[in-house]
Amino acid sequence: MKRVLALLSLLACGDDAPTDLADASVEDDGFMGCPADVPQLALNNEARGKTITASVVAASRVPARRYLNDWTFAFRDAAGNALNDVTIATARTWMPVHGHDGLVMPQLLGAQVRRLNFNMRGPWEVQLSLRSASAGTDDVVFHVCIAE
Amino acid sequence: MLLAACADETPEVAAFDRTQLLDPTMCKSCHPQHYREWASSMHAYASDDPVFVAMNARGQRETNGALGDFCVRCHAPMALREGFTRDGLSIASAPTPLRGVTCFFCHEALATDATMNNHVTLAGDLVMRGGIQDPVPTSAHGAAYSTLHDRNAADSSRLCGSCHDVVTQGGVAVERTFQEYQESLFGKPGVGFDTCSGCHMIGKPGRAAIGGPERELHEHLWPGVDTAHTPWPDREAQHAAVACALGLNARIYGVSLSPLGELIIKVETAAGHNQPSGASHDRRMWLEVQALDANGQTLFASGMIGDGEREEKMAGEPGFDPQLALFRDWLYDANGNYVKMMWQAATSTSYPRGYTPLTLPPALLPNVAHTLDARYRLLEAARVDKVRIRLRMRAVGVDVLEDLVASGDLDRALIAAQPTFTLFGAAVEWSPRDGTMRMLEEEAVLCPEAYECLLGDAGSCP
Repeated sequence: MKRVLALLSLLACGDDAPTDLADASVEDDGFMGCPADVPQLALNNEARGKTITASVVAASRVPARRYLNDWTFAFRDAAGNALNDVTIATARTWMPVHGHDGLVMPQLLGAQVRRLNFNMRGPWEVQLSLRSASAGTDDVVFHVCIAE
Repeated sequence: MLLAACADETPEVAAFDRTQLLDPTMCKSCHPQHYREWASSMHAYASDDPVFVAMNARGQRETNGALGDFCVRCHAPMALREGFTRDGLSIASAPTPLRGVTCFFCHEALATDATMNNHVTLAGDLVMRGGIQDPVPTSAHGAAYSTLHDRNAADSSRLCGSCHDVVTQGGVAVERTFQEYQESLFGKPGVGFDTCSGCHMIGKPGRAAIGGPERELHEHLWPGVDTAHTPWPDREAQHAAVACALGLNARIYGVSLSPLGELIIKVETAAGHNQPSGASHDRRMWLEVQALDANGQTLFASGMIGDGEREEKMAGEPGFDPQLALFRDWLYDANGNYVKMMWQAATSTSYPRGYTPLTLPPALLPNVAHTLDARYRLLEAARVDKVRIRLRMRAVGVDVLEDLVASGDLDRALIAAQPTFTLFGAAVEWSPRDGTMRMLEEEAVLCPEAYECLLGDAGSCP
């Protein structure tokens, strides 16, 4: 979202100090919204690893919103067969452009991950480390944008 | 008639006159949810807040009136501009519709000449400005788009900054939230950018006015850390919203305990400004730390501060906590002596800025650590089985409130009325045996459902 605006720039040193106001034409580099390649959450969104593909089959909010979200996953192997022996070893939300996670440790409850915290708007990742007796260990990353 | 006027079907309905537009309850007729949220907010409470009233009264007295309109300029801008008060001392007798930071003040804002101490210019045209680019025409008032009100536009943060940076008459920058934001990663143009309202006015679907189209709206709660100390509409909702905003934006980044007994706790904020921020000289945020042995016996404790208890104690005083990790600003006068009240602050040779800060910094660059370390010296480190840690926060230090009580400006009962928040993200139990950390479930918050349901947004409350 870019707009050309006439802004007032300011040089002031105290409450009653004189201000130097000057017109300047600058671009308003506001909130960029969701990048085209980072969609909002929709059910059945997939993340593909080397041997396991994960998909979101239920979510507390679709699309996902700021603060705490619960997602439930289903898993398939490379041939597309359902995997029922997958354990979610770790889960975290991660905001690449800030280089920080979602601060709150998610709760792992079988195929459900609770308390995925998106503490600000923008593009996020949901990173899962998976273990399966039949498909081995794998990591998958969901790319999801939090618009609001 | 009034309902139809909300979305332009009845142009014959007379436009609100200036007196009507100044009154937030008139906004309620077409914007009931916006009104309800605002009415619970600290913007509505700004000049009814007994701490504000007490501080302003004392400040006027101690400066022989030199404080003038300094406080009321932001706490009740329309009462000041309409001539119902000059210094805030008579604010209780000002018409209710003009108290606090009103709908009219923000939505008539045309420009900000300086991002501090409220140098907002109002348009004076009775056109209500907002962040909607295609407002539905209404006979009630003119409606226009403004970047100052568009939470996706960088310009909008300047409107917030006009009151959320405060420089005293003595030249001390006692509140620097906007400055902190501008220096942070959040304030830099690019993909990681967001505005003040982007975080503090969360978006949600809804109708801007009765009868209007479904749109992406934003909350008018502005949760920070302050809450009402006295009975106030939807006080519980505001409390729950603050618990979310605080609790999900800070964490314990790491803990370590050396064999020699040095316990290091790394604390981090995800806020787009320092934490605490705003009146950081009044704010109190601290780490509560309890090291326990395998039998649950306490081996070490710091920051175990009860409700209504003063946070800092002097050496020799019962409860003195020499290792207390306390995050706040300290103010000084022209002679370099510590002072509590912002009008007493001044620059000096010892303290050129008039203050010293110890607050959690925001992210300045991507992937660069911005934690602060709290270090404790423990005896019997080898016996420590677990360490319970809670980051806790109050809007105003009990010592500040006690000082206002002592000067006769504040009711002592308000001290107990002030909540202490535990920040859920920074409430953990850590085990030195295996280095694992778990969250304290008893501190869990439900966000945003907890406050949305209290405001009637989400059906029954969970």
